Order: sequence, then C-alpha cells, then structure tokens
Amino acid sequence: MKKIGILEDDDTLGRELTYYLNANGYEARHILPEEYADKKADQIIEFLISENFHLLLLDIGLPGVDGLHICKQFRNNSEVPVIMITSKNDELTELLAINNGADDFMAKPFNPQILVAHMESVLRRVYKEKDNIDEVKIVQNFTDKNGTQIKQEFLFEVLKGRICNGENAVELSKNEIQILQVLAGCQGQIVSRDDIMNVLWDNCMFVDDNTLTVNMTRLKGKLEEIGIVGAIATKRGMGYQLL
Amino acid sequence: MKYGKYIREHKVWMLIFFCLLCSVEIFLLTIEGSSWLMMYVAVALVLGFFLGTYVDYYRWKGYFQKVNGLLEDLDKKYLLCELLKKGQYQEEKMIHDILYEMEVSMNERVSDCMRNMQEYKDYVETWVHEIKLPIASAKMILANHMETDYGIENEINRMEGYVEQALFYARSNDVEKDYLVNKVSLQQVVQEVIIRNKKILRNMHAKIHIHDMDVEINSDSKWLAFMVGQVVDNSIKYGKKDELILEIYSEKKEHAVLLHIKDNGEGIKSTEISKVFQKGFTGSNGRKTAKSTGIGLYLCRKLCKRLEHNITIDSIEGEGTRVTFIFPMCYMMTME
Repeated sequence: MKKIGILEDDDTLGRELTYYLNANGYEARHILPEEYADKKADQIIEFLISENFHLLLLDIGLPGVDGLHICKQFRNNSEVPVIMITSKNDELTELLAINNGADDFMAKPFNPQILVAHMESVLRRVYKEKDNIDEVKIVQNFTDKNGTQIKQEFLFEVLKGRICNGENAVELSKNEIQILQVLAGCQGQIVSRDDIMNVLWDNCMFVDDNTLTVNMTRLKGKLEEIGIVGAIATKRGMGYQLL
Repeated sequence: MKYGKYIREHKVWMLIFFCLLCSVEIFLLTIEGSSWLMMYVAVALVLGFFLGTYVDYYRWKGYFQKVNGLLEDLDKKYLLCELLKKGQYQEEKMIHDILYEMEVSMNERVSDCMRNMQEYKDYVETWVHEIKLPIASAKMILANHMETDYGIENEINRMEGYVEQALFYARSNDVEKDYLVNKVSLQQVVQEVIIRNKKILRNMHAKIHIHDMDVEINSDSKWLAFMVGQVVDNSIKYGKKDELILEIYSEKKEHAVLLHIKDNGEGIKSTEISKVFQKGFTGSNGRKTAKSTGIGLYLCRKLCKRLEHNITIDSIEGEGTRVTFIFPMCYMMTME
C-alpha cells in the first residue's frame, strides 16, 4: 500500500482528502499545521523525508512557509514525487511548480477521481512498476442457458490491444479495450452501463448510449470470432457481466 | 478662426478706435486743417487699426493651429501640456500653466482609478482563490458520501463556474499581463472541458463528436479552456435534453487555425446575432430560460482580444449555433 503525505493547511479539505484516499486503497496521512508551524524549512524537509512517503501532495499556500520553497528543498534531498495542489489555477503558477521540481500540478477544486488518476500515473512513472495489466488471462467457468458446464479461457493483451485464444487473435478498438478492461477488473460482478460510460468519458472517449451498445455487440462478436461464446452476459436493466 | 469674427468679437476696440478717430477729426476741424490732411489721417488710422488687429489675430491663429495639431497627434489628450512649449507671451504662458494644472489633477485622478481597479482586481483574485477552498472541501465531502448527492454536486459545479467567470472578468481588463502563451494542444483543452462537464452532458444524453483535433496552437491553456468552457456551457444551456449534439473540430487555413464548436440548439435570431458579444445582452433565448447573464460571450471576446485570437459566431435559428475561435498563424510565427 502506498503511503501518501498530505501537506494542506485547510483542515476540512485535508481531512476529507485523507478519508477519500484511504477509501481508495492508499495509506494517507494528513500532516496538520501544528506539526510544522514552529519548524524551519530544513526541519520540515527532514521531517517529510523521515516519514518515508511514496508521494507527497503539497499545497502552495502554507502557514509560515512557501510551498514552492518546500518543494524545491524537498526535491534537492529526495526523489519522492510531489504533486502540487493550489487554488491558483494559472499557467505561471503551474510553470513555477514544475520548475521547482513538482511532478504534477492540480488546481483546486479538483475532481477527486481525476486527482487519483494523476497520482496513479505519477506513481507508476516514478516507481516504474511493471504494469501488471499488460496481459490478463481470463478464465471462465460457468453454466450456460442450456445447463452445460462451460470452461474456457482467453488472453487479453491490453497494451497490444487484442484478445487471443491459442492461435486465434483479434484486434480490439480503443473503446472495446477500455470496456473489456473495466469488465475484467471486476470479473463476475455486474457492471452498470453508467459505470462503463463514466470510465470511457474519463478516458476521453465521449460515447453515447447507442455507441456503447454497438461497441458491446462488436466486442461480443470479436470474442465469438476466436471461439469464446457467451463470455459476457447482458443483465437487462442492470448492466454487463464478464462471467 | 476667422478674422471677421475676431473683429466682431473685439467690438470694444472698434468703439475706442472710432471715438479716437472722431476726436482726431474734430481736433483737425477746430484747427482748420486741410481736407487732404483730414482724409490722410483718417485712412492712415483705419489702416493702422486693421493692420494691428490682423497681426494679433494672426499670432493667435498660429498658436491655436499648433495646439490643435498637437492635440490630434496625441493619444491621451490630457497630456497636451507636456508637448506644448511655454511660449513667450504672457497669455500663452498662462494657458500653459492652466493646462499644466489640469494635467496634474487629471493624472492624479487617472492613477487613482488605476490603483483602485488594480486593488479591486487583486481582491477579486484573492477572493476567488479563497472561495475555491471551501468549494474543494465540499466536493471532497461529497465524494466521500456519494449516497447523499441530491444534485448537490451539480450545484457546486455551477458555483465553481460562476466563480471562475468572476476571476476571468477581473482579468479581462487590460491592467497587467497575466497570461502565459505556450504551445497548447487543442485536443487536450477540449477534452478537459468536456470531462469537466461530464456529469451534465451525460445527464442530457448528449452526443459528443470530436474530430480533426491533432493540432497545436499558441495560447494560454487555462484561458482557452475557460473560453471553450463558456461556449460549451451555452450549448448546454440552450440545448434540448436527449437531443444535444455537440461537434467540435479544428480546421487549418493558410493563415490561421480555426476551432469550431457547433451545436444543434435553438440558435440565435439573425437580428440578435450581431449583439451577442455585447456585455449584458441576453436575447430572447436568454430571457426565455432566465439562465443567461450576458457575460460569457462578452468575456470570450475580450479575452480573445488580449490573447490576439478572434472569435466569431454564426447561427441559423432553430437549427443551431457555431462558434469559431481563430488563432492567427502570423502570431504563431512571431512567437517562435
């Protein structure tokens, strides 16, 4: 679990952010103003380093110290990634943040999901973790409508954008990859159309209802092409389910 | 300045001269001077009078011509005194002094207004940054309690929109340069705007069609995102639920890059289209829905001007509206 440090002087925002990140699989710690108010910049840096965070969320306007200064000092002493969060949303502030060693910049008020997405990408880049979603092997074991037990498996190569079953392989479109990724992420559960659309939109694929239906049909068709039948079940009024 | 009018305005001189002439002639009569002499004196005096007044008239005419010439060349007319020579006659000196006094007081007033404006602008900026904190907190709280939304998120997003508008309104006045021109990917800006409006667009079941966007222009991405946001916001306001189609695409011209944002909303009456960039203009559509403030497009145009872009609009009533941002190429070249 990744440790996230939050240096944010607003109590409510810091607290809620901590809560949100904890609920989303991080170990977040809100550093309260009392902990650093009477410290000098070097001491704060030392303290931040000693906490061994994986990532630091840093506000620019802090009581007593300048976030940009902290960022620069911290960067000189540590490789831990920093995301600056500030309510000053202009190019100059962003440029200053990046020039002072920040890895990313988020303007308040931010969309929490987008913040998490940015954190993910920074963490992935810095810790160079092998994307364990390069390839997913999907194993299915279910009984179909006729009561026959079906056992089948296929390989979903996310980065190459294709699915294969032994010899047979078929390319997927951008939308189809995203949809299959969502379904594979929670195999066995029903995913609502709304959730799928949300993910697609967040990834800049602005599809409407009809397009989603078309994409789903195509995806099923492509699965059948490589001999995988009935892999995705449509639950009327609820959504889809990768069995 | 006309000589005839000048003479008529100097009736007193004429009167005095006439009295003088009479008295001289009477004097000549009493000493029984010859009629030749009387004639000669009369003509000489009259000529002398007109010559004298003409010289004076000519001097003044020259002076005012010079002043007018300076005035025409000046951009800020109240700075006239700076260019005007003090002159050698006391009248000219006095006029100069009066103008100087006026200029000083005017300058004080202008700098006062500028300072007030700057102060107000700074205040608005600070205020906007402060108000963003509670908005950010409210959004986080909502994200942590998804089950109790009741449409609050939408309202908070609207609030955020208006706050942003206030910030850019303050920035739109040409007090200082507070933008930074960089290479900007149109695709990214547009995607950012659509994602920001995701919730409301999804609720409206809008069809979004983005194409031909692989182009970079020079602009301030934050400013551009705000402007595109205002236009998209209008499309949302005046679009019908379940029917909105939003088409966003760019077009490369010889001297410019165009960004079109096209919707299928109610459109704008041809009689009103020339006024949509005016401040406070709401039009018949705006009054119908009562959501319009008449600020969005006005601000877009003002900000465009500052960034040296251009914005145009065309519309067919009942069929839709197309707003076009124009990014001139020559400007792009000078930036490199």
